[in-house]
Amino acid sequence: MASPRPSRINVRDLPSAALLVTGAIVLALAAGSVWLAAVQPADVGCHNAPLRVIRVPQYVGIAVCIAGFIVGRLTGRTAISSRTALKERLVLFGTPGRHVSLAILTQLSLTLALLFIACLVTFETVTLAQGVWPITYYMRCAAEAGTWQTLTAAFFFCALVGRWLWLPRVPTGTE
Amino acid sequence: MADLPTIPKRARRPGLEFPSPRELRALPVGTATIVIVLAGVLVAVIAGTSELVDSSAAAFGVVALLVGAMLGLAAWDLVISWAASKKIPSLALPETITLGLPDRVVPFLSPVAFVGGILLGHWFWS
Repeated sequence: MASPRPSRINVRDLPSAALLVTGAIVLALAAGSVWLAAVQPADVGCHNAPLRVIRVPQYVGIAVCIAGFIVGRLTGRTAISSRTALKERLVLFGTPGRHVSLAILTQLSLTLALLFIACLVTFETVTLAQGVWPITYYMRCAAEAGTWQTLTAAFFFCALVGRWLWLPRVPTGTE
Repeated sequence: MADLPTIPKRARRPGLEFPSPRELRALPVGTATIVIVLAGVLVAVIAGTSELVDSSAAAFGVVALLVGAMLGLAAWDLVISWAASKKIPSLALPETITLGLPDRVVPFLSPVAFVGGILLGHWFWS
């Protein structure tokens, strides 16, 4: 008798999917707001240079980021403690050849993410050397003009970082 | 007329063979990257302390160099994985990185680095 095919939908994956979709929507809205602000900078309500002290203490922002990082980790991956369970999950993604393709796709994503971060850090370096607004100032401007919106975007951004970078334990077992 | 030896159509000159994925993986790319990063850090420290460039810009130059080094390593690994996926699929799968640390400690490295990085950034910009 053939073993039952594993279901593609796991209830424990729902919080993960919900956070991913919500984060994508929030960050898309944040990107849209940044674009609008860049088009009409005169309408943006922040000082030049932006204030360091805003309506909420800076440690609140740090706490929000750490909370987002933790939530991203807790919802990002279901607990897989054994190699058997890991193999059962991998069955859904096809043959070993397909696993290789997915592994390369993941590597490509990592490389593109590092390319994006390298561009940001290079921009920060050049702007600091030239004496014009670095990225940090744009973040402060956003925090001054729209405090809770910025904190919300920071929460979901850090959730995605926690989902991606906080590594799980390696599944154990002989299977 | 004597018969000429048959030359296989796909024969290549010795020495022009593209290195195999195993040979590419064996290259000391990591060591070379570390040397480049250390040289870059030295240049940034000299440039920053001698006021050739703004010290903040020099500090972020080091960060850019580190991220660029990671980008180079990731791109190199991606090329090898892509090449290996054609011939040796097992080499295309991610390798296990051993840090010489207890298994229970490793998952907490990234959160500690994340929190430390945020606090460091807060201190730097305050």
